Order: sequence, then C-alpha cells, then structure tokens
Amino acid sequence: MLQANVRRDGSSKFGSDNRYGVFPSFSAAWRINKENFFNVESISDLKLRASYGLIGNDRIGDYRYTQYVSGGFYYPMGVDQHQVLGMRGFNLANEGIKWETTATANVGFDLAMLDNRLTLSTDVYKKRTDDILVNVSLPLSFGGEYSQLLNAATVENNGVELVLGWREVKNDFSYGFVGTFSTSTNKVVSLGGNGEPVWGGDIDYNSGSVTRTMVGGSISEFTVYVTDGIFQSIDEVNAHVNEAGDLLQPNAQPGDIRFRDANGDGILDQEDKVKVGSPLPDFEYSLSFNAAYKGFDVALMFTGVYGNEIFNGVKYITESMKEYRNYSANALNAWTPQNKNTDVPRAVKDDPNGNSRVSDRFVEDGSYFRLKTLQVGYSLPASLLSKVKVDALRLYVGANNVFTITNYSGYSPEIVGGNIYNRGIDFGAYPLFRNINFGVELKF
Amino acid sequence: MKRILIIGAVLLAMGLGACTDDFLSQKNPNEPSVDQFWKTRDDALAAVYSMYAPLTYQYRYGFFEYGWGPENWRGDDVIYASTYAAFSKIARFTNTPDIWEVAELYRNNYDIVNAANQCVGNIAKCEIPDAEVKQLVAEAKFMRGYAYFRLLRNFRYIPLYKESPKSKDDIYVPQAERSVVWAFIEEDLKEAIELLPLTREGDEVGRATKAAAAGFLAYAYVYQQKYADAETLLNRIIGGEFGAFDLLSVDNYNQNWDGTNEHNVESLFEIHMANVSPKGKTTNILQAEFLAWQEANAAPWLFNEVQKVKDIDGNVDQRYYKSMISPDLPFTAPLGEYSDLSDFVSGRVLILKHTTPSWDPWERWENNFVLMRFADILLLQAEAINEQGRVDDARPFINRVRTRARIAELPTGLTKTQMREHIMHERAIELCFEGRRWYDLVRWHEAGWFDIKTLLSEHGKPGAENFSNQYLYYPIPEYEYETNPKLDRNKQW
Repeated sequence: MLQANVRRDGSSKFGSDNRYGVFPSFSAAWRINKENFFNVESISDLKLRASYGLIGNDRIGDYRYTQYVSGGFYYPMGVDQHQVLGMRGFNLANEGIKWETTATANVGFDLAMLDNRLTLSTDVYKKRTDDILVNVSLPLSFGGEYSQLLNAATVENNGVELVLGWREVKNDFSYGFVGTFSTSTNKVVSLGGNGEPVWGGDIDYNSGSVTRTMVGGSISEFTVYVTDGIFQSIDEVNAHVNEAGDLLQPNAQPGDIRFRDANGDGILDQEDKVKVGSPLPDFEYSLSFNAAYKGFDVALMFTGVYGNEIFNGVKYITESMKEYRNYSANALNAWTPQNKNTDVPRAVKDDPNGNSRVSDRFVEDGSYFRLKTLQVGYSLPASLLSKVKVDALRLYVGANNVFTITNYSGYSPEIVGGNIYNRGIDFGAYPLFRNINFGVELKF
Repeated sequence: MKRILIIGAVLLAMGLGACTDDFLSQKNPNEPSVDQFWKTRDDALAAVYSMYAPLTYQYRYGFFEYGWGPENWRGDDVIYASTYAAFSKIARFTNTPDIWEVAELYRNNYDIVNAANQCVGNIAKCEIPDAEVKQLVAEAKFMRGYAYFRLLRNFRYIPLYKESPKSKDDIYVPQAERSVVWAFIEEDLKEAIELLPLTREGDEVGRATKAAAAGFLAYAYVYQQKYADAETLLNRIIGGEFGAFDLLSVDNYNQNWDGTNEHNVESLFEIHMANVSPKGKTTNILQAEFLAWQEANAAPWLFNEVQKVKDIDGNVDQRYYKSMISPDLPFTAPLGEYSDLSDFVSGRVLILKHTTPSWDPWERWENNFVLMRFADILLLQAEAINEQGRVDDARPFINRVRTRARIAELPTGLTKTQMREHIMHERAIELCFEGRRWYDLVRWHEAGWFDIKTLLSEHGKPGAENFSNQYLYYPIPEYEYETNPKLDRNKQW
C-alpha cells in the first residue's frame, strides 16, 4: 500500500515572500502475512509501516510581519486636560516570519497473534520542527512590545511508542489488558538568530525566571539557584565566604538558606543559576484491565509518568514569608533557634537574604502513578428483563482518581503547561478531585 | 493508469498556482502599518502625544508605584511606612535586580525614548511646513533628553538608543559610558531650547516650552558639576529670556501642587494627571497614598530639620504647614474623614504636599505634578555660583527663596562650606517629596561634600546600615540581562 500527498498552503499572516509553504507526505505499508512465503500459523496479522511527512503551522496573530501603529497612548492635554490619543509604532516587525514546519518520520509494525488475542503495535519516530513560531522576549529598553514573534527555534524529538494488548474470551468469562509505554527525548537544535538562551516561567512579581531553554539542551529546563542547607549559626554565615574572604551572603542570619556560588566567581548572583531538572518525563505509561463474568464486569485504568520535575509555584507563593500575608501551614515549621531541624527557613519580613529566590527548594520530583478509573458493574439477565419489556439494565459503581502515588507535595502532579517556556510549572491549577459515581443504564 | 496520472498532474498544477498573492495581501483595518502612517499633521500630533502618555503611567497607581515611589523611597525625607517587600527593600537598601517596580521605572522612560526616536526620525515625512517639523522634532528631543536624564539619575550604565529599532539587528544595544549619554542629553535639550515655543496656549498647554528644556539642561549641568555652564543658562532663565517666572507668595505656596492654580508663574513644566475628560474629581493617587493608606510618611529627621530655622516672627517655617502634618505641632488643617485616624499619633508625620486642600474624599481632584519649578532654579543657581567660590554672589538667589518663606536673609561673609549647609537645608525643606532629595544626596556625595552613608545614618534613615555605594543607583533590571546579550554584567549596578 502506497500513498502520496502534496499540499501548498498560503497564509495572509506572513509577508509576501513567505506566504506559501509546500507540505508533501508519503506513507507505505506492507502486509507481510498476506505474502505467499509467509506461513507462520500463530501470526494472524503482521504489517510493517513507514511514513514521512511535513506539516505547516501558521497559528499566530494577524499582521505580525509588519510594524503597525498602535493607539491607546492617552494623555490629558490642553488647558482643560481633555484626553488626546497618541499613536506610534509599538511592535518590532519581522518581515521574514514564515511557516513553521514539522517533519515526522515514523517506522512501526502491527502484530496480531494467537487468533488476535495478543496484539502489539510499535512505533519509532523522529520528529523535527523547524522555524518554530514563538514570541521571544525583547529588552525593556526597546520601549515597545515585550516580545517579538520569530521563527525562533528548531527542536528535535525522538521517541518510541508501544501498545501491547491481550484479550481472551472463555465461555462466560472474558478479560483483557492493554499496556502503553512511550518515551521520547527532546533536543533544542537552534534558537533565534544568535542562539541566546530563552528564559521563562516567572512565578510571581519579582521572582525572576525559572526555566531556561538553550541550544543543545531540552526545552524549558529548570534553571535556578542551588541551596545548601540552612545556616544554623552566625559562625556558619561567616564561614560562607569566597576566596578573598568576603561574605557570599552578607545579609544572612542564622535560619537563612545557604546558596551555592555555583560558578565559583566569588559573587552570588543570577549567574549562579544552574539546571536542576526538566519538566519532560523519562517515560509515560498506562495499564488498563477489564474483565466480565456472566453479568459482572470490572474495568481499571492506571496511568503514570516517570522522571520529570515540577516547579512548585504554589509552594513558592505560600512559603516565601516575605510579606505580611497568609502563608501555608508549612510556614509554622519555619526555622527558629528552638526548631533547627527543618528545611523551612526563618520567617523574616522583606526576606533580606533572598530565601524566596527561585531555587531547587521548589523543584520536586513529578513522577506519579495513579489509578485513574475504576468501575464495577452488573447487568441483569435478559430473561428477567424481557418480562418488563426492558432490553438491558446495568447497575454500576465507579470512581475517578482513586489514588495517586507520588512524592510531589503540591495539589496534583498532573500539570497543564502554558507556552513551551512554562512547561512543568505548577501555578496552582484547580486540583483534580476524586469522584465516586453510581449509575443505572437502561435500554428499551 | 496513465490517464489518472495526467489528470492528477493537471489538478496539482491548478492547485499550486490557483491562489494569487493579492488575495493574501491584507491591510489591517484597525491598526495601520507604519508605511500608512506619518502622512498628515494629525499623524505627527498623535505621535507627539504618544511621548507624553508614559508620564502619567496611564494606570494611575503606576504613577505612585513605578514613579514617585522608586524616586523617593531612598531619600532621608521619606519613610516607607507599609509592608510591601519590594518597596521596603528599596527604602532599606537591600533591593536586588529583580524588583519589578524598578523595571517599570526603567521601561517607562524607554517608552518615551522610543516614541521620541520615532518622532525624530519620521515627522519630516508628514506634509506640514518645515518650521513646524523642526518645532515638533525639538519637542521630541526635549522628551528624549528628559527621559534619558531620568534614566541616568537612576541607573549607572544604560543602553543609548539614538534611533527607534526597526528589526532584531538594531535592538541589542550595549551600555554607554555616562559621559556619552550626558552629551546626548545636552545636545537634545540645547536644540529644544532653540526651537521650542516660549509659551503654550489652549490645546497645547502642557506641552514642552523653551523654559522646560532650559530648566532640565541647567539641572543636568549642575548634576555633572558643570557649574559655569549652569550659571550662564540659569541666568537666562532667571533673567526672563524664557518667560517671566517668579515665586508664588508664601500664602499661595500650596498652589505649586494643589491643583488650584496650575501652570502658574513658578512652574516650568508639569505632568497633567486628569483621569477623565474634561478634568474632574476622580483620583488623586498621591493623596490616597499619603493620607488614606499612608504608605509614605515624612521622616522624623525632616520634621526636626524644618523646625531649625524659624521665620522672621519666630514661628515655624510656613512651608512645614504646606508640606506635612503631625499632632506634635499645632495644626489647623481640616482633618475631615481622617480626624479619628489612630495612625495620626505622636511621632508620625504625614505628607501633605501633592494633596488637595480639602481632605473630603469627594473634594479631591486630579492635580498636576510639577516636574520643574522656579524655586528649584534659584537654588540651583545659588549652588552653581557657590561652587565656583563666589559665595556672596550666591546669596541673592537663596535669599529669594528664604524671603518668600518669610525666613531672614543670609548675611554676607559666609564661607563656601557654610553656604553649602544653607543650600542643603533649603533644598531639603523647599523641595521635599518632589523627587529631588535622594538625587541631591547622590550628587553631593559624588561631589565630595559628605559621605552619604554617614549622613543617612545620622539622619536616622531606616536601613542606613545596609547602604553601600552600589545603592547609589538602581541595578539594571535582571529581565534586561535575560533579553539583551550585549549588556555587561560588570555594569549592572
């Protein structure tokens, strides 16, 4: 089986030189078990698949390729101070923006064995997205819009996906499993014109950035200060010096957090932020199971991710203790001379030591394993129902989000990301709730 | 099969060629592109107005949070009396480069710079007479000079944009030496003095004049200790070349900021603050901050300093009553809604300057904020002359300010140092809470008059012990380092 496609798309969102993109795609499959030479009894289906294709993306605002004149700059002018409308160019034009293009190459096979009871499907893919359209932050000193739309990045993803299933029916009893597993790696190939890193993920007013995306790394890596325990005494504060003997944290007091001068330049500043984790998991998986016996049926589904980190923005907001406002109960465990065995720094107005600066204190393991759904049902026998002219009647009880095993301390480790530079930051989304439902299914 | 291929090829060719470019060339109906702009006088005026808009910060709390606050918290005339961490850090010299309010102060002035650069570069394209083009360009240069001046007194090393960036290639500008920026400011303001009109009438009231430009250039000269240049220019202002400026009487001293007599004889340049059109009685953000929420208080040091020099009748300097209020000195102001405020207690001094005469919440109005006034000009002149060693020649200028306040004239025969002391006292009292005090301390420290840290601790400034010389200026915002690779880490503070 062979298939080929070519499309040429035009978009008014780009300048006249870059309006059109050509996006071909090809796919091929080979049903091996239909070939004459194939005679393995137990294999009921075996298909090899391969595909390659380009797709384009123009999901951006209109007119972004040109500098336009913005209004909205009002000033009360004249002797009666009536509002006059000021106008000027505000954005930074980019005449050259063009289609973002994703090329995906995929190889895989589908296998069914033992009378279709065992199924296996695998895919290996390589996906490369060129000219990713993103808003890149501009210096404040530009004096206009905060960001410019650019074809700013090229990112590669390589991955493997597996789906393995088993299904069997024996008289009154049937059951099945489906397991999925996927893993991928992500690599930033290029960024912007000059390749300067892109910072993102500001948690709060005055928090500074949490993520950095750099060429050679993966997107949105958590890049923050590194903590090194809590100063237990003024001697420890005075011992935290650079080579010249100057205090690295001159405003620190016992109970404050010790930060590492990671680059060893003798000054504790923004240059000491280092990569401490990634919001991208090592792998994701799920397992579902269902079974039925006579009138009874049961279904479960587990999901999980492993190996990602989360920046706990909620903890950042609720434990900083720098202003007079409400904080979480953890603040009660703050360091005091009587409560030294804690990882919560002292409570101090204005936070002179910067305990609340973005640091690995707020970066947590985001792995989890969750029983997502569970349902048990019973269908009344048809013989009973026919007497009351009902075709089917099923009673069931089910639950969602039954339990979650995780080390993450926030509301839920399942984070819905913002833009690509804000991945894995927990801004305090509404937590998932566990619900339990009872139901009756009735068919006439 | 062959037929299918041919049909396929024809369809493909039609598909790829079908769209014409015209169909995809869309004009934005809401926001014209820049090549449709810069045609008419209206376009030129709209661009000019866009330079003024950042002065009010549009969002009026911004005027306090990003404007008045960051330019006054550090002075020994002001106490930060509330609990917000960012302000508290600024006021106590523990601020770090990530304070957003400081970034806004920075950005706000660059908004003016960008607007002004667009005017300078494009107004000549509009179909208006040459003389008018020149005047509008001069107005843009005034605003650009003013914005760079404000940047330079707040940040040590700043990027200097001489044109509005058009593409990614123009946008990363390295930090310039201070002397280079000062020279740029001087050039802009000189051209503005030359070409701006003497006065503004009707719809133009509020826009820059020769006097505004001259006032700021003179201030810039004094800032750089260019006393001779300052003296010459200040003489032209005081001599009336740019308009007949004078001091209000002490009874009308309040009219400098209470909104009852705006653009008066003492004012060289002011920000219009009306929130609605026409000007009404909706907002007075500083009144709310000073009297209702009391985020800012007058410092006890200033309260003592103002009582050191009595007026000719032996009474408290009249300017105290117009600037501050405290239960520790007899007061007559109608306290109205605030009369039973528990915060109005001994030891606490509230700021009255910039408020309206009535404390009734329905009687406050949107009073202008004066950026340059004649009393400042006179005191700058006294300083410029004294610093050149002609102490007695400086006398008449400081005496004029003292006399207006019913304070006795200074005698002849003072030493230069004694005169400095009087100038320091006079500027502290006359110009408190007007965004002058901190910058006076910085430039006097830099001129070697005193050590600022010692002075701050003698004056009881909370947090003086945290001060070190890096806090003379704000650090360039951290966000800027994340977005502009050409900035030098060693020039952040």
